[in-house]
Parts: sequence; C-alpha cells; structure tokens
Amino acid sequence: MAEKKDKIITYQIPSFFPKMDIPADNIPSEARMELGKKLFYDVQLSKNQTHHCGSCHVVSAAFTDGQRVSVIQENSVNRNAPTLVNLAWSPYLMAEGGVPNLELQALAPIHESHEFNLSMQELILRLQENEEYQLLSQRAYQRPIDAFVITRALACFQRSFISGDSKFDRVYYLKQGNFSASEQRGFDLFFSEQTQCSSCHALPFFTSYEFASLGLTDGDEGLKRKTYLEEDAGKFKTPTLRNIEITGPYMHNGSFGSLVEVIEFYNAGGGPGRYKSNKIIPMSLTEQEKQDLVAFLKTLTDWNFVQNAKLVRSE
Amino acid sequence: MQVIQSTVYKFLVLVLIAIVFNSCRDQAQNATCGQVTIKFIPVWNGQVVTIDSIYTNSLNQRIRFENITTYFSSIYIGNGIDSILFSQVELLQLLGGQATVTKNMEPGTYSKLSFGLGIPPELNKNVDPSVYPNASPLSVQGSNGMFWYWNTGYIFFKLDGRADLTGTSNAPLLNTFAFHCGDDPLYRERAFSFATIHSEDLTSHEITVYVDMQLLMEGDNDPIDLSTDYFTHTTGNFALAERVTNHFANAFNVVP
Repeated sequence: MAEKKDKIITYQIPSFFPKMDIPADNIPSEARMELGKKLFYDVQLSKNQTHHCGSCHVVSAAFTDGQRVSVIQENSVNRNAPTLVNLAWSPYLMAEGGVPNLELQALAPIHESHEFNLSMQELILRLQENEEYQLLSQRAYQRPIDAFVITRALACFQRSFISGDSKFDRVYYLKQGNFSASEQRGFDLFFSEQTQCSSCHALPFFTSYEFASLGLTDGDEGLKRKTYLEEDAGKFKTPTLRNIEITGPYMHNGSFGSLVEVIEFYNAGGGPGRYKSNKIIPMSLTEQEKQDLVAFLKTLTDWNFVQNAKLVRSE
Repeated sequence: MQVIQSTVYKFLVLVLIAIVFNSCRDQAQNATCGQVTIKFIPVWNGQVVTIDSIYTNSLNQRIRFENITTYFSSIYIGNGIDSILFSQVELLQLLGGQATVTKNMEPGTYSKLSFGLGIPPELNKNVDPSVYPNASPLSVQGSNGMFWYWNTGYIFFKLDGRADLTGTSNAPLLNTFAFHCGDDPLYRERAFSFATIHSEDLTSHEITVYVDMQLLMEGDNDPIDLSTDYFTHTTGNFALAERVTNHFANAFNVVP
C-alpha cells in the first residue's frame, strides 16, 4: 500500500492577531498535527501511564482543569494548571519564563517529578514499540520517533490552540453586535486609569507577558527561582484573561475560586507581599462596578474554541 | 529559535574543528597518531573514593558518595604555544573508575590542560537539547537528566550521597545530601600545567585529574555542614550552589 503523503496546513489566525512565528523545522502539516494530538492525549507520557496532557488541560475549560492545583499520579503539582491558549505568541513559557519556546516546553512536564515523572529515554522506548507512532513519525518528520519528533509534534498541535472568537473580539475588533450596558461599563472600567487592568492584561492577548507580584504570600518564589534576585520574589508571568470565566480557580496557586473574589482582592489593593507591583492599588469600586467588570470579563469567553471537536481527544 | 539554531551550529562547528585537529591519518595506512587519555579520579585523603566507602569530614560527619555526575567542556591540551581542542563536552560519572576520555592526538609535545566545569554560557542557555544527535552528551537522551527543563540549561554537576551526622561509628547513614548545580554564573574554567608528554607514533599517554573530594566538601577551611547545608538545586539556594561549585572547581589536581 502506498504511504499516505503529508500535507502542509495553515493555522487559522484572527485578522487582529499578530503574525505567528513558526520555526522553520516545524511547519504545520496534517501528519504533524495528528501526531501531536495523539501524543497530547497519550497516557504513555506519564510514568504510571495514568495521565496525559489533556488530563490537566481540558478543552472545555480552555485547557485548564478546574482544580486549585492538579493532582497527577498521587502528587500535587504546586501550581494551578495554566490555560494553553495562544501560546504561539508567548515570548517565553512557564510561570518564570524559563523556557523560550513551545518545542522546549514539551520537555518540562514529561520530566518534572510532580507531573509525568518520566525520562525521555523511557518514553521513546515505549513509543518505539508502537507501529502507528513509527509510521506517523516518518510521515510527519521523516525520522524515527525521538525527542526531536516528540517535542515538535506536541508544539505543532499546541500552536493550533488559537482563541480569538469571543464576544469581545466580535464587538471590539469585528464591529459585530454590541455589549450590554453592564459589559460596556465593565469594558470602560477595564481600560480605565482607575483600574489599570489593561496595563498588564493588554490587547490582543490580554497579557503583557511581564512579570509582576500581586502581593500574594504563599512562599512560591516565582521569578526569583530563575534570576536569584530578591526583588523578583513572588513575581509571575502575567496570564491571559481570555476565557477567564471558565479557567478558575485563579492565581498561580489557585487560591481564588471565583472572579468576584479576584476583583475583591484587586479592589483591596492586592496582598501584603513585599515586592508587589505599584500598579496594584486600592480601587474603591462600587458593587455595581464589580459586577460590571465581571460582566465584561465574561465576554472574553470563546465558546467556539472550547467546543472545537478537532481539539478534543479522538475516540 | 534562530538563537538555538545558531548555538547548535556553533557547537557543530567546534566539533568539526575538533575532528579536523584531532584526526590523525588512518592508523592502518600511516601510523602517526599518539593516544592521550584523560582520567578523572575522585580521592579522599589520597585514597580513591568508592561508592562503598565512608569518609569522615572535619565536622565528624560520616559521608558516602553515591553520585558525582559532571559535565566537563572546552577541554584543551597544549604546550603553551599551541592549544588543541581535545573534547568539546564530556559527561562523566566520576565514581566507579570509568571517568576517562581518550582521543587520538597528532604527534606533539603537551604540558598544559584546561577545561571548564559545566557548560559554557554559549552552549547552555536557549539551547534545545532535542536537536543534538542522540549520542551527544548535550542531547535529551545523552544528557541523561542533566538538564533543567523548567528553566532551560544544563545541570553542571550532581553530587549526591548519604551522611550520618552523629559521628558514631557504624551508625546508619540516615541523612541525604544533594547538590545539583548549574547556571551560567556557575561555569568555572581551570588550567593546569603538567610534566611534558610527547605524543608520538602509537604511543599512549595518560593524564590523571584528581578530584579531592575532601577539598570539595570542605573548601579552604569552609566545611559544608551537612546538618544545615545538604540540599540545593541551584534555585532556592543559589548561595550554597555557588559555594559547592567553587569548592569543586578548586578541588582539581593534575598529574601526567
């Protein structure tokens, strides 16, 4: 039987998003996407073969898992599972920004002792025994399955997690429809000097990717782990707010269960941490204004994205 | 991505240079190569350190070493005028007597050795280990867990072991210690002179690099107290990682 030929594909990128940089050695193709998706949902990536990437990054929750912190193979991960949307534009990955691109990021959860806790050598041995993986690997990257193939395929699939079809996007960028009165007031507040929300959660991804401390004092050193600088203690990469309605609990430690709690925290001027950002100041919001902010944040949910069958595990 | 490709390209060029400089003519056709072996041997008080032995430090803490996995890089052999890249990167387990690197060398006179402890910055950060050939000590497979995946970069060395803090003879070693160190600020270069060797046709020479484990654990009157300073993965306790690294870098002694 003739070997099925691979076909290059293009990511569907909203017109108001910047151009996506794609590594020359990982141009997306049908086979690469298929292989990446297969790996993303394969429990063989975890030592006990109980978890896959999709266990903690669930499509319907915008690739989070609704847990304060994930529990994998009876181990608690020490941070809240982050959303994986629009990672292709992130200049660095992980909460400390220690990983420069998606290809390298794939190595972290596989090796991390509190996550999959598996060596790449062991994973490759497992996958080499699977004829389907070998065929897909050859078709996608013209080489046997190895670390290069695994990291590329996972990155290729994850670059397709593009979320830019929320009510906000349609109203603000595409001029289709209108916000409700409450949503509009929340929009105005979000982009106001009073709240300064948008100075860190900037368009179009609702993150500036900068590191900041909100004053949380849970002992997680954040960026200091990478830089060793005391003033970086408790700083984390600013997360996107896209799909925020369905990605709780919130904060790096999952300490807030609802958007209302988060807004109350900001309204009070954040936490007591020593190196808190000077942008986090008491806001004196009224109850109505808090409700309006929540209403606006809910317009950031991309329901088409979280119901995209192409991203869900194939049966 | 371009940075990564550029780094790998630089590495491959260096490897090529090493091959060119080290490639003697085919020994079967025209035997002109000498062979030089660099051997790393950990010692404590002049005795070779073994995984079964227990050593006592100046704080009366009894120590057993279980793992001393170390990256050495930019290993050059020279004579004060010329310097030849002997090996770009080696990953060695110093315990067990197998920590040797052997290369064919052009005939010559050699009396200098230099190397880096760890991985130099240009090969360390923004590097994608998955693009190296699997046999490379810098590859995902070849690095064998000596890579920080959450904050890309290599773990320069892992020094693991067990200790008894009571100082009681025959007491079980109930405590553990783990020093996993590596980041750009921790890269250290060392250079040594040794009695001249002449590498000529079909001759073999061995250069022994002793690692004084007592000096590594105690420095110059700066003993690592394993009751308090027993763990660092560099981040979280950079000061200890730096201290252990400096001790390690000063623990080498070369004998031809």
